Amino acid sequence: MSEQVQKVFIVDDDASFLRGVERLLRSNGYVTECFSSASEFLTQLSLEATGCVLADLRMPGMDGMALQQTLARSANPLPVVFLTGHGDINTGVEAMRRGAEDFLVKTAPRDVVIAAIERALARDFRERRARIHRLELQSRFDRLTPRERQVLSQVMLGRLNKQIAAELGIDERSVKRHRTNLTRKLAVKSVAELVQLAIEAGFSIAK
Amino acid sequence: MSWITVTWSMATGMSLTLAAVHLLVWLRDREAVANLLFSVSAVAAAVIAIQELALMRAQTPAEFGAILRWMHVPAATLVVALVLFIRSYLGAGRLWLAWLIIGLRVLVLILNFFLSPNVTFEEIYALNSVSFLGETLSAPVGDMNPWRLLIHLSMVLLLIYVLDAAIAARKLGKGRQALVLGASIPFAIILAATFSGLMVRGILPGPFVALIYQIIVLAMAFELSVDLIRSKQLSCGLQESEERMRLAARAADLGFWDWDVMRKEVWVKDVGKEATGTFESGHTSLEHYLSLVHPDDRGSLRQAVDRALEHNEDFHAEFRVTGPSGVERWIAASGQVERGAQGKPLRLRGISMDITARKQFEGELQRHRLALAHAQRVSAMGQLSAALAHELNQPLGAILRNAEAGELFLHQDPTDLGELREILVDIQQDDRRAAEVIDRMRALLRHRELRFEAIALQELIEQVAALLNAEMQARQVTLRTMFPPGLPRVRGDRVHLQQVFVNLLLNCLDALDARQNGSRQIEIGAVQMEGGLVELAVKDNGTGFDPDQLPDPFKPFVTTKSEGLGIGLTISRTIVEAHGGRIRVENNPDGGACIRIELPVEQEEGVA
Repeated sequence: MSEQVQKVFIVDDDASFLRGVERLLRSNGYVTECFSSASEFLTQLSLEATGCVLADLRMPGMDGMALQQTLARSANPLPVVFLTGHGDINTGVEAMRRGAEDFLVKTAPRDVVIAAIERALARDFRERRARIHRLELQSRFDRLTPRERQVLSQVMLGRLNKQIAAELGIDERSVKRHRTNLTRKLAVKSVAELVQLAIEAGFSIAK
Repeated sequence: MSWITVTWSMATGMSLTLAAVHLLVWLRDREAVANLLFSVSAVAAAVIAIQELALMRAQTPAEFGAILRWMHVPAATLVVALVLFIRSYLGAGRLWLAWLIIGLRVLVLILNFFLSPNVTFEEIYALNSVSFLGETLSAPVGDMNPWRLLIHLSMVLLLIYVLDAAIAARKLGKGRQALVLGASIPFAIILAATFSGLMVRGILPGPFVALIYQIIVLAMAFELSVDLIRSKQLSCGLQESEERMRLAARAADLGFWDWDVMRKEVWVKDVGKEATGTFESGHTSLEHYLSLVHPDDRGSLRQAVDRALEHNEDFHAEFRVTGPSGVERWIAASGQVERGAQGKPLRLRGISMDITARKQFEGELQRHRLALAHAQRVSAMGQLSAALAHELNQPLGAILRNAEAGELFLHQDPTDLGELREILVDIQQDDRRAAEVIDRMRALLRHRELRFEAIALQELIEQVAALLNAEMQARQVTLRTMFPPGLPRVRGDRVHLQQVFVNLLLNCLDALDARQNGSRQIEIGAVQMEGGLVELAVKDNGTGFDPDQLPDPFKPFVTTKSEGLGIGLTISRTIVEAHGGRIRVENNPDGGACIRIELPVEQEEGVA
């Protein structure tokens, strides 16, 4: 999945600015795709698309802020860099609070724009990798049986096999068998690794 | 000298004097017909007196008869003059009766010259010597003429005529005149009839008519003299009131003028010379006066004069006049047309006032208003600064990005010239866009007087909409415009009208902010109205005007907005009214406010 080329999606209702910024990014070696409205961009956005969004704040129909919110709740939350004609402090703070990568005026220096895009792309790469990793772990944990989950919870609480057997009302041999299955399904080699994985996957301990 | 001669001569002299006085009055004032008639009757009485003197000294019956015959001429004249005098002076008396009396008297006069010796006597046999006042006079002895009855009849009719006229005059409120004339004339008539009877019977030497007529002449003279005295008093009063008027006029800085339509002359009273704008009193020709009037005001002054003359309207005009010293003054003149018998205008008379100071104040007020309008434009621009910065940064940002890209493209090998050309085209376009934004802003901020031109409203509204486009987008408001095809252009000042619509649209936007759900809409529509007007309606579906909160939305410095100055609508109204238009506010039946503006159509187009 990481082989997918990172793209800069430019969303702006001002055709001239759209062309200008597209040329600049293209000549800087970026792959770009242009949209004249937020809704057009959202309907054409695929789940596999990677990169970042460079959006105008003021647009007819759905504005930049609404676009960011919709994107954040979607399955493919691409980072957003806002470019606006005139930025007041309130809107800027609000945008950053909602997770925008940056908030710049349209006349901002090129280096600043490029740097923001770079950060956004890196953030996408980072977050995407984390997201994929989490999803993979999740799928591994999904294969566990309810009994194995109970045993895992007890192990994470630092209990001995004997205590686990007593707690769950099964014999010690069964506990050992569950633990063997656990380490096999989750592909871990030690208890420490098991616990770390469980925490990474956000596994919740069943009481 | 005998008493008879003295008395009769005095009567003659008195009659002639009175006749001369009243003839003079008539010569001065041709409308004083009563004075003329009196004069005639007094002359007749004088002639009678002379003839009577001769009659009493007659030596033969033939001489007596001849003199008596000729005495009928002044007697008839006197009666006719008396009849006419009563009608003219009392304004009463039956017309048919008057004609009947005159007719009878003329008949008597004609008969008088056909009958011998005259209409009084059929025959005079002899003359008796009668002693009277110590003098020996002749009294006739003869037969009465039966035609004499006609004289009696005319005298009876005259009696009735005078009494009837006196009663009618009393009802007309001329009590004193009616009493004096109504008592003295009948008394004289009866006395004359009696004396005449005595003379015919040979008791009196003559009819003594001269003395009797003196009663009538004196009564008439008394009446007319009273009138003369009264008119003297009136003229004194008039002079006084004129003096008062002059003082008042001077205090109020008023001038009097009088334009003689026939002679085409302007007459200016010496008070308030400056107020009439002529700077000198007296006569001047209309052309000369008009040449002093400012060329721009001549047409409207002429029109006002023509309107007053043709449509019988009151005259009113305000115009500038340049005096000999080159000082320009504003004059306000009002007047009325005075018409002759056939409704033909004779003269235009009125007052005028120097309103230079008022006009200066008005001009100053207008300048203050414009300054306020300018201040308000600046403040509106402040509110719009965010939107304007956005508008401006859009093309500037595009130019910057294109220029940066172009620089990078130059370093590529091979250089993509096509792409570079496109970049340059885009940069030029965006540069123009930025310049337009700045122009619009500067035009709106410029501080200047009203300058009228023909304006296409649709184009104007589109320019304003472009100025506010970013703001409307930011507030999620949609604007719809509906202009019918063939809408005439209006006469207006582009910048000031733009300001009005910026104000109105900003108001709409503020009103729409409160609207949480549903679409926010502004609608601008125009229709052509009767009377050379175009009405523009700006509607929104916002909160509308709350009459409790804002009884008069045009009142200055009253606002419902936390940051508002409260002068937007005030200034809008000032501007619209300076265009000769009207602005009013109402609420839509389905919610929201509607502002209607009427503007005059550009003249040439209205005619076409």
